[in-house]
Amino acid sequence: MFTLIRREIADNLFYVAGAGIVVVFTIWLWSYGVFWAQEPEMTGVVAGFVIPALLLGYFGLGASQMYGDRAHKISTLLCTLAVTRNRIFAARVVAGGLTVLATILPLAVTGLILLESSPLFAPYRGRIVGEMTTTAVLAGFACYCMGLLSGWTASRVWLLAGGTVLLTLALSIVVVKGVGIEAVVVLLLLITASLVVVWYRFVSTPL
Amino acid sequence: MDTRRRNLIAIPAICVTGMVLLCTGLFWARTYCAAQRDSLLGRSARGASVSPMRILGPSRAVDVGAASPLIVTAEINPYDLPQAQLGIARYLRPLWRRSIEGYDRNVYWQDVWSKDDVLRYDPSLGLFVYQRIAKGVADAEVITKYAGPEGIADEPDGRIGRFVSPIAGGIQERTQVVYDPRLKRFFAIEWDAETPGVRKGPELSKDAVEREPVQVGVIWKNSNLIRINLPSRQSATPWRVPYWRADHVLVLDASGRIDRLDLRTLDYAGFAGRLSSPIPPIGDMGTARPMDLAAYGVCGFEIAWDDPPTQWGYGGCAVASLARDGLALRLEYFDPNGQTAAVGATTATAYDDPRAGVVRLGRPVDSAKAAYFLLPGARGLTWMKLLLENLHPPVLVLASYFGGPHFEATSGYRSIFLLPDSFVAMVARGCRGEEAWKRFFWTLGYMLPGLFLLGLLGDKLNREAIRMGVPRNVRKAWILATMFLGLPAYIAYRMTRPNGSLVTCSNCGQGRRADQDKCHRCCSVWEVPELTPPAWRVVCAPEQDLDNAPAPAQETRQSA
Repeated sequence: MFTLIRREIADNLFYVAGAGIVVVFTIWLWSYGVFWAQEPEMTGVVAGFVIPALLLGYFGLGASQMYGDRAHKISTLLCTLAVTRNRIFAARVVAGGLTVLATILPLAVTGLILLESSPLFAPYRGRIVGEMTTTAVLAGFACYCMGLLSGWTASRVWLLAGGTVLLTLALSIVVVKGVGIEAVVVLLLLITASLVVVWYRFVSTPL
Repeated sequence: MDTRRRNLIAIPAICVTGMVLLCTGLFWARTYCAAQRDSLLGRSARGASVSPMRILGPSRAVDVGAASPLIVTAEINPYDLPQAQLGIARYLRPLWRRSIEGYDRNVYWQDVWSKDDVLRYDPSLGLFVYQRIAKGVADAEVITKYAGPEGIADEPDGRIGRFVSPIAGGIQERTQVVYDPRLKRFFAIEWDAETPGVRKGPELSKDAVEREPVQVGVIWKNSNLIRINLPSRQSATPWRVPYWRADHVLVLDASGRIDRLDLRTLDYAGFAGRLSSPIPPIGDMGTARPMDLAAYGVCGFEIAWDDPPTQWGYGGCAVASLARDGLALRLEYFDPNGQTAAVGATTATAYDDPRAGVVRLGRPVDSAKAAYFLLPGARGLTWMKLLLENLHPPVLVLASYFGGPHFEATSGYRSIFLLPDSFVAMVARGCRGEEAWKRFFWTLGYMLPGLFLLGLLGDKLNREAIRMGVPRNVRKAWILATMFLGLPAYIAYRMTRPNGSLVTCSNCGQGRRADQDKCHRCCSVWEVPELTPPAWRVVCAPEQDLDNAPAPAQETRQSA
């Protein structure tokens, strides 16, 4: 299993490393904004460019995993070895989940440290960061699931058009519901259901 | 895992995924529709004004009215749509504006630049905590005081008692008014007085005890959605605002009733007015509880009863209420006795027969009705709204009908699954006077396009399922699921239906599945042809005596 996870990460290193670079850039922007009193401008840059780039990266990772498999028959080849499709799928999801966690958690820790400098919100920083981190992790993972869902196709048109629609809809849940328990419940529902749908399509497709 | 089990897991998952994505897409389509409808209302249709001069008496009204008329106007904020009250905006707005009051409802005041200056309620102690840096002290000593029902102390002390879920206002004129639902009485906490203390009001009378105050002092909800404009006051005018400098404050009840509270006695001093419901596009005016309105604002007035003005007293209050769809506003002025002195509402001018090409000024119509049915383009948007609601899963539409009167007014701006602002919910709220069967009939009428569409889908599903040999019980289950869950169930069927090409049945001549033992139409089994070997052979060389021919291995050895 570990080998499979490692292989998934190695195959999609572009997205994983890209997300890491975006996170480092975001942390630098935040720190610069807070310590050099450019906070509103930097928050705008982060909200406007960095967060969409990160979410697009998660979607790309999911789509790349499934589209690459479909195009190059990777799972077909692997099934000739002592590996089941369930294991391949599990390794794929674990790799995606680890990528999301590894990129959001450093941001959460940075937020926790930076909020200490704001006396107004200092008493609430645990709650604010907790709510935002939970919602961000789930939103990121939902984007990844939408990538998995739209990536299992041989048509690039469907991948781009359907993927854009699915990504927009999944992200708009956070816009509509905000940050908090309602968004968490709906995102959890969507993630669970879409993972089952992807699993069903993945294991039902003939070799 | 076999296919049947896999399908049993996959079908609900496909339904849920489809439902979440479909409902989210429909939410944005409805929001777009609502924003377009909002833009139909011109600036003149977004405001209402009242002039309650008659409360001064007939003779004074004429004199004062000529010099400086008391005209109160309220308008729907054209730059802040109710539909923009999305969850992310509500969450981030307090953080963006550095206003912790919006983030934590237990904080009543906090200095933006100092975490030490704060007035908050501590639920774990049951006490109000007022903390501020002492003025003039060099090393910035922080003074903290705790207030309970029995008094103020420097430390949290059991002797000062504890509040349970109190309703409180901010500090006005050094006094904070608190209502405790358990103790059923009002309290006034004097924070900045030379001798800080807590004044306890009397136990409320029997009829007052039934009331359920929800706001004390400043009575506002979503103040960014409406504006109340007051006329500029001159020195000689016999009216003034704000009212809170006087000896009374206003108290809003959960039923929408507004009372005056005497700050000296801390007892109700009389009925001041009530929230009023703007006219909805469908049905009658419903209840006007705080939860039924998207926004409201109450502004009290003081009036001098003598000339020149020296003796000031309570002069009534203006109450502005915004409907949940943000299309109608009602402004009402209540006189000092709580009687309606003047009423205004937003209206739009409907033009007679615009298709004839003749624009004639028509009569003013309630703004919500005009935005739904009369203004140019309104009917198209109304049809679009109806069709979008009918694409929603019917079970959720029905749930919206039953939950209609119980939804908070602004919940529709953030509701993906239920439809608090749908036509069926409007029927449930606005037609309460009608009998239940009539209301249900209206509801079915609004669901008719959706039911028709689902009927078509069910019929298509049934025919296809028959063609593919799906058992009758399974077919029924799919049709029922489609009728209740709508499009997501139909999509789930399409994704999990049996696939494969059909072969012609030799018995009935219709298509039958190749993977089943019997034809699903005529139940005939496969006709297996008798496999008798033919007597003839195809040969390419002269026939040899195969029985006596040597085996290939032997031949090889011999040749070697």
